[in-house]
Amino acid sequence: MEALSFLRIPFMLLYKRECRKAGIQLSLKADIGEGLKFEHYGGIVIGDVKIGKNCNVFHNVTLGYAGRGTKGGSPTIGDNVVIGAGAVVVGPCHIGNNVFIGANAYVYQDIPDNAVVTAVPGQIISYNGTKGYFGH
Amino acid sequence: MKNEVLSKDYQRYGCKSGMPLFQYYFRMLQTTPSHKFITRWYKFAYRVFCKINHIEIPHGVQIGAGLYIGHAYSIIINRDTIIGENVNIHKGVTLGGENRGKRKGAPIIGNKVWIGINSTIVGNVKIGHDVLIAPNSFVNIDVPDHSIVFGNPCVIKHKENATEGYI
Repeated sequence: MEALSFLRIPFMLLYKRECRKAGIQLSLKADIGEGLKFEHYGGIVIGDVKIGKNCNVFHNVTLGYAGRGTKGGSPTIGDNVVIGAGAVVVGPCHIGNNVFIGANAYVYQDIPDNAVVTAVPGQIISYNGTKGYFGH
Repeated sequence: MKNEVLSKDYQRYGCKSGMPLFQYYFRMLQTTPSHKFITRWYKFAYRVFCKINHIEIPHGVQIGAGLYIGHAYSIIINRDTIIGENVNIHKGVTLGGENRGKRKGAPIIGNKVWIGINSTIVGNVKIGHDVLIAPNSFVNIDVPDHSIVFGNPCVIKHKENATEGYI
């Protein structure tokens, strides 16, 4: 397959063009499960992260690498996660399933399942999760 | 025929060339009586210029005269929001609706409000007149008249003439 890698070139060009049109920087090394949804476009940056199934991402969201040396890393995100508008999730943190990250939140620590996270720095305010969110 | 809403918008920008083009078509769509071909053309042009600036504002939103959009990029407004007169909106602003819970609905914003970069207003909340919302703040509670809002979660402080010099 290495010999046929030149076939990727037109797809790469199309991909870059569509990313630019939608205002999304989505890394090709990102490992994203099925059912990803971008609710709105513009200002989205997604680095080499690992995302589970059925994730909702709003506009102005940043998911990426942070930290230096051995402390640096990228986040790992579970299933059925909603990431609100303007949220920033960086560093080697692990985010569980059914987590709701509120708008303009800054998350750099591990988050358990079914948590609702808001504010700067991220604080857990309840354990209702994304209950009743999907399906609208 | 002079378009009063549009001329007030031009006054806020200072010159005609300063206004982003999607706002011109937004105003024309709302103010001109519906016509078979003209409205279709305005809708098409509005959609194109919205896409260029990454803006999602449905053309049915009620926005008062004198809207100023500082740097038009990535602005998202829910279709049920009501915005008053002489409002400043900057890049990355979200006026969002909420689908569940007790704050179900979209925000209502008064006159003379300054909304800073990347700030988010969510749910069925009422923002009063003469309010300054600082950049990167998150507002999900009612804000009274003459106040300054900042931070995430937001903090409200009273001040007379809050938006003096800004608007």
